[in-house]
Amino acid sequence: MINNKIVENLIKEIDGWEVEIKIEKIGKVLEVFDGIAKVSGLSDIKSSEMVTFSSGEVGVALNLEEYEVGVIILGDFSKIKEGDEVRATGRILEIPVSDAVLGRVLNARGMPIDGKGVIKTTKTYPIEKVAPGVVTRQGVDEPVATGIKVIDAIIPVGRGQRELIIGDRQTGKTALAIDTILNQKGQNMICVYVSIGQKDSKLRKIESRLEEGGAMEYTVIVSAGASEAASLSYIAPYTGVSIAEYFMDQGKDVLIIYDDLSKHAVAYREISLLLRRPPGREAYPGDVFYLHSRLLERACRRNEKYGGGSITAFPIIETQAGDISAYIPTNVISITDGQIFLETDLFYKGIRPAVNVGSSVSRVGSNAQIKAMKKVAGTLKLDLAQYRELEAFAQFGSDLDESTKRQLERGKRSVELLKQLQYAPIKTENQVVVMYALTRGYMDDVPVEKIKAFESGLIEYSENNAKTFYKEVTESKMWTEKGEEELKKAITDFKNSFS
Amino acid sequence: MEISSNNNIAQAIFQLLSRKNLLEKASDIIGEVQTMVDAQNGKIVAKVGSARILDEKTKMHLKQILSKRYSAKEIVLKESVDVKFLGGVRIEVNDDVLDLTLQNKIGKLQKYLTMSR
Repeated sequence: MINNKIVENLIKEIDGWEVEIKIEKIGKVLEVFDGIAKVSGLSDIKSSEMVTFSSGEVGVALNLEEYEVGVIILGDFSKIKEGDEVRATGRILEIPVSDAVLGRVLNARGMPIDGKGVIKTTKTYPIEKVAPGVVTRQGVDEPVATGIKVIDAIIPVGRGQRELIIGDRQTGKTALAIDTILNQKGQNMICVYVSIGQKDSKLRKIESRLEEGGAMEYTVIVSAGASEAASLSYIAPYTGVSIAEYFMDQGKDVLIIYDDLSKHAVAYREISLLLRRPPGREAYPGDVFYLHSRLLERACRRNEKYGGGSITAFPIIETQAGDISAYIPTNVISITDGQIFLETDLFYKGIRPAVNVGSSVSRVGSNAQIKAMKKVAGTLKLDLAQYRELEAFAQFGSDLDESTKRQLERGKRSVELLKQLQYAPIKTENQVVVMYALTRGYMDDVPVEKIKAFESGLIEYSENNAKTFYKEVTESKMWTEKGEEELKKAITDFKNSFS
Repeated sequence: MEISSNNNIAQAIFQLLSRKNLLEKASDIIGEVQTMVDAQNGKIVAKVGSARILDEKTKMHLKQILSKRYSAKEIVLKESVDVKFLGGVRIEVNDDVLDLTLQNKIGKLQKYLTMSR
């Protein structure tokens, strides 16, 4: 009985199958080394075309030469032998996409590596695509709430923006990105975290952290580990952005993090040198700028007519000893719409997140900042810059006039307030409250060491006692005079009870 | 006359190979020269693999089709028999391959049935 059913099903399946046999272009492997294969034949192959080896491995044709083709092998190249058959597929490399990828960890070819079973889908997206054109785009005008005070107040990021996170090792670049993902809960945002050449232990830590924070529900992790071939590190970010585009095509907002593009450039350099492409500055090939520009151009905000949705990109770059004028950092700085610059000195001084407010900018984000935040934090950047200057100056003499002293005291409190613990994102409306208290001078006579306690106490108090203000800020992103009065009263009341 | 000129060419090739220390690779190079000469003369070598020996009628038919497709003056069939093909033929011309064997079709069917859908 059961057997009959199996046979019936099989017959049904086979009925729906049509054999398609056509003339194929076949080449032969001439040599294989370090993840690269030189292949003869394949006369009509296109650049970036996917090829398959007889052992089942997949490759991408990158170098088209007169008599041979240079192919990068995506996977285990030890299975490939000289003389093996190589088939051209006539297609650009594709990855499977579906809604089921959310909450999963994928490799650079879009296959799950988290042991949670196969992802069933028939839909595929090519990994290389031309970025959306000018007519399909729209200005950045909606904020990405990162939950990090210093970013939301001073370097605001909008949906569809490309904001670079740059800094030395161990300055909290990944922490900033992970905090941002954690804060996207309930913000109608899909997150894609692309890990390039990172240690598997670090990835594991990130995954469990996101799981704990309930962030994996809306997050996909794409990983090309440090132990995998350079070719996989090379394609991983393109895989990530293709998954992001799949969600954007449904009109959703997506946040994508590339951690990090320095390792991506290094992987591409390795491939290029093995393919014997001429090396340029720092031995990177000539097209290393295009490598990143074509990737980051795919981040965009599309207008309603073309389906809406957005991709916000947070590329990460690791600098060596704070040198932002090296080749890759300058390239990516010029491609992106601003950068968040993290510094080792600040980090060890205890200012965390160690954002250098002076060197960090957001070129388009201020249009996306909510009005309430713009109103309260508008002068903060300037205040902090002046404070830095005065701080250096004040070390020389003790005779300072009143206004200078006041500015110094305010500066100290601003720096203290902008400190924030890891994994502790703060809601935008709460940020507005504390920024209001700071910039309107309510914190000027609170001792610096008590600022943290004042901040948390104030948030709790005003949440309960300034409900109209909160309602106005969350709903219309602005407040009325009545709301402001209520907030002022709440702050004064709290301050009187605070000791 | 023709024989002596051919001999001269062969002599020249061997002299060049020995001068360049390439005698080891002589068979590859001569094969390459042969393909060039064949291409110039409109002669195409087609490798035909099948599970059983092909009869003359099929071979003639194949030659006709191939000479039409590649607009060649002469088609040389290099036959090989491999039972693994199960049935049908596999034709290779330069880097074009037309695999009409049963083995290929069954392989494709297997791929289709195991594909996640």
